[in-house]
Amino acid sequence: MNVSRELLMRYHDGAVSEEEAVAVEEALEHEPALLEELEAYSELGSFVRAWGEARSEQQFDIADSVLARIAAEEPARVRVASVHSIWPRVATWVSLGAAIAAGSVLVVRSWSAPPAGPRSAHPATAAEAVSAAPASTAVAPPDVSAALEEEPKDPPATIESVDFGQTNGTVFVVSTDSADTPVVWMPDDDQPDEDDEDRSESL
Amino acid sequence: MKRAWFALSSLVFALTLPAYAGGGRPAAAAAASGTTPAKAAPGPAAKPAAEDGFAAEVLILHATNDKRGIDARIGKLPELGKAPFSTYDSYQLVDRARLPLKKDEPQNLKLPNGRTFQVRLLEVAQKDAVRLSASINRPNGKEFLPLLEVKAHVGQAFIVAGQSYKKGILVLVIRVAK
Repeated sequence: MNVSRELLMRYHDGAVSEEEAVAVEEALEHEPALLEELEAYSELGSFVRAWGEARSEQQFDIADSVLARIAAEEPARVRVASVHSIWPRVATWVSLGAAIAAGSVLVVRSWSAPPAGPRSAHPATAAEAVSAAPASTAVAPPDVSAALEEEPKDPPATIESVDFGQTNGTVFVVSTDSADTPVVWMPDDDQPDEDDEDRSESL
Repeated sequence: MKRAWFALSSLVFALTLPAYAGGGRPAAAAAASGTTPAKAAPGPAAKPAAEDGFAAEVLILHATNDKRGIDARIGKLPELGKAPFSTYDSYQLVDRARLPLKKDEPQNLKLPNGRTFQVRLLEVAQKDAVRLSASINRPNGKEFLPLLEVKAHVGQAFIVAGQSYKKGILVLVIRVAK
């Protein structure tokens, strides 16, 4: 019996009748070339299955990798959106700047409060400040009054100009606990006065 | 959202904080008017006070090393305990004078060494401060201290010292009074 390639392939796949199977098996016994071709079909089938499995596995890998990348990029996109949005930053900086400015106003006011005048006026000043403020205890007025009480020492008398003439004089300040006193020091020169008489008794 | 809420809260806090400081202009103006009415209400009261009433109180001291201590009549003068005045152990009050400060009338005071101390009002700088000039002339008319201009508040003093006199020096303490 002449066995065609088509029949051999169906035999290989198990899609033949009993008669066809008997015929193919008889032909295989007598024709070794058919047996080699059948073995080739088996190898080819194994190869195709292997290739198909590999292909399907590769497709799954690609899908998984794509999904993994999407999943990985999702949080990054969210983070990028929050970082590069400028308005929250602007709002934060404006608010912080305003807070710093307000703090500076407090400090400047405490420093630039009028130190002149009798000390008895300070409680009145503090009281007026408190009455002008809203009813709140968030900012304690005693800090301001305490700053007002620390008045700087009065500046000393000022030597605005001095002409020593022919004498070598110096100007310096003598500091004590109560005051700073400028001193004009003029050591006597060797030039005799016309009248060197002692007049201490006549004063 | 939290960031926006924080920013809004900080802004509200910053805008309302100065009001809580109690340093508003009305209060500050009231305080200033209570302590320095001349500054708060410019006008006739803001003009410098009349030159009448200012004076220069002059103490003439004789500093020596006679081991006699400080004359009790001098009163409290802590500068004498500081260098270079502390190099002398004795201070005697030679004279005391109160010279009225007037622009057109220089006031003279004879010193023990024969020289003349002269003082004159230049201007009333502030309500309680003056600018004055001082000089010391020799008996022959030559100048020893040609010119000294000082600005001082009432109660403040300056010292002119160093003239030789009887194994010591003269110390002139000039204090502005009113």
